[in-house]
Amino acid sequence: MNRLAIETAFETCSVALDCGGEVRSRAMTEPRAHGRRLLPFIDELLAEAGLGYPDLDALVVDRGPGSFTSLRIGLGVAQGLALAHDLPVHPVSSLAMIAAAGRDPEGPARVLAAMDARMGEIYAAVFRFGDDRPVLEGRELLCAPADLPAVELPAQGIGTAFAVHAVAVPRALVEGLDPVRSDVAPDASVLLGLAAAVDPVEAHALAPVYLRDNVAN
Amino acid sequence: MQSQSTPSVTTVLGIETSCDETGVALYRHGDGIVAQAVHTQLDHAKYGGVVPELASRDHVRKLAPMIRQVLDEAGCRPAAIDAVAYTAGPGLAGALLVGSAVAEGYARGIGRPTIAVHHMEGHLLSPMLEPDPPDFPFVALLVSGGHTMLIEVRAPGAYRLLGETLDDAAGEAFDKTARLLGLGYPGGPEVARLAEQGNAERFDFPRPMTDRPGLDFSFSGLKTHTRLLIQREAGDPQTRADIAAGFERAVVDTLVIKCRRALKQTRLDRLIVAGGVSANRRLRQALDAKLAGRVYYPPLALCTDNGAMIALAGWYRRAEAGQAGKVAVRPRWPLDELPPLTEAAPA
Repeated sequence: MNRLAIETAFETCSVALDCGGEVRSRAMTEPRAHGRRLLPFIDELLAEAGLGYPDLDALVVDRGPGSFTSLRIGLGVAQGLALAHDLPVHPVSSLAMIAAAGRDPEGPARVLAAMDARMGEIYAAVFRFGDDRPVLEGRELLCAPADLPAVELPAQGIGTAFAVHAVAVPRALVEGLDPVRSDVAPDASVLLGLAAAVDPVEAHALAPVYLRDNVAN
Repeated sequence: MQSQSTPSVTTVLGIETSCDETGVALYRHGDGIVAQAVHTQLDHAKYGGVVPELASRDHVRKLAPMIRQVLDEAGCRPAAIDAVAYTAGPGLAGALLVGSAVAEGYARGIGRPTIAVHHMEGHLLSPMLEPDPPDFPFVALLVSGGHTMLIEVRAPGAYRLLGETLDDAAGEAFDKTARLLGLGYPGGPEVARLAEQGNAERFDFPRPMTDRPGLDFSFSGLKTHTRLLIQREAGDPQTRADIAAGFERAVVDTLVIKCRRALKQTRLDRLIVAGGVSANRRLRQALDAKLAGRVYYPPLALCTDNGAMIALAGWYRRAEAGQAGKVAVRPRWPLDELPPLTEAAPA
């Protein structure tokens, strides 16, 4: 089973290839470089594994929420690859990826993932990890830092929002979280681990999750 | 890796996402367009113009299913595609990126090269898809919601920009005027319909930039003039119709004057009129009546943005097919920066 994972929801462009259990990955954090990095990364990983595009069995992609443009670059490339070989695609939540990438496995099972969404807002979701798999509690949301909902404790806090919006996030909420990590890097190999819990879709049904829909002005 | 020159390219998948039309088509040299699909986004109507982020979102929804649909209709297996052409610019950056990403991903997947097509070259070559295509050279008037330009087309790949709008496109002026008159979007057909009942003589309208030499256009002054007129005179339906008629005639006159000048300046006698505004009936009547040469109007399906013209332009540019391996676009891409075609295109 050869699976390729694509992560472009934030400023990191990351690709991981699972070749029968052996995982290789590439990542580069550079704003607006996804379009330039993505395909060369994939080419390199396939070449290292001695595989070609027709050898892929499934794709995993970060479906957001995240930066609109970079998200669509990753999703578009995934759609193109999936169309070419009728590949199933597992769309994974960026917030689940961040929670899984940054959480302390020894810490509380509940994780509040909160990523800076620009424009003074935050993408947030609460996950409960069991068997290393995150289960979403409630729903993913876009909100002002001050409106970050309370979380049942104990819980961890993971994501850039805890640094970017440190002043604006309710202090009572953050003080209850332990640990709090804001320096977490998006990682496509984490997507590979989360894919099994998400039903695959065909290329045409693959859709970004934006959360921010008031975009007409 | 494909070599630089790929003379064996006969079947090209074309993808267009530069603005608010998603277009996909399959071109096979010798057969022409084998299958195609165009989706025109309607979400923008309530905003009176194209909202870039909404356009990008709609392209992501529509493009993959449309590629599947076109290939199914054509009975074409991926292996039969020689190259994937997509609009790399000019246009809306986010919208272009959707086409580039899907095209690059798909081409990579099937192991074929991509061709980055200039949107305007697509329009300029689209008359070649007709059963009775015009001979080169000719003058092309591209007149739509996004463009108003006059181009001398000596041969495929040999273009000279004669003039273009310095501000609003003609179609944009129609859209904005429609909005001011409380009409729907796109504004062209709505204004034209209202103008049917109007008296174009009742109000004076400027013919922008016709009183000085040159082939550039400007429609923002006309738009302001119309806005002030509506504010001053608004009210009864007949006045609104008269304003619509006067505005339409001013645009038509301006376009006709510039086209006549362009033919004279280039000493050519063939004019191709493409773009959404070319559907305007009074523009066609005026051009037919007032120009000395022959005027060609490609079918409207080819005038609006579409994948067919991109597939065809990609075929003409097949020598540039390569595995760039980049999702990259050129939202601003002056036509004169387009390299000449490296090989003569067979008739």
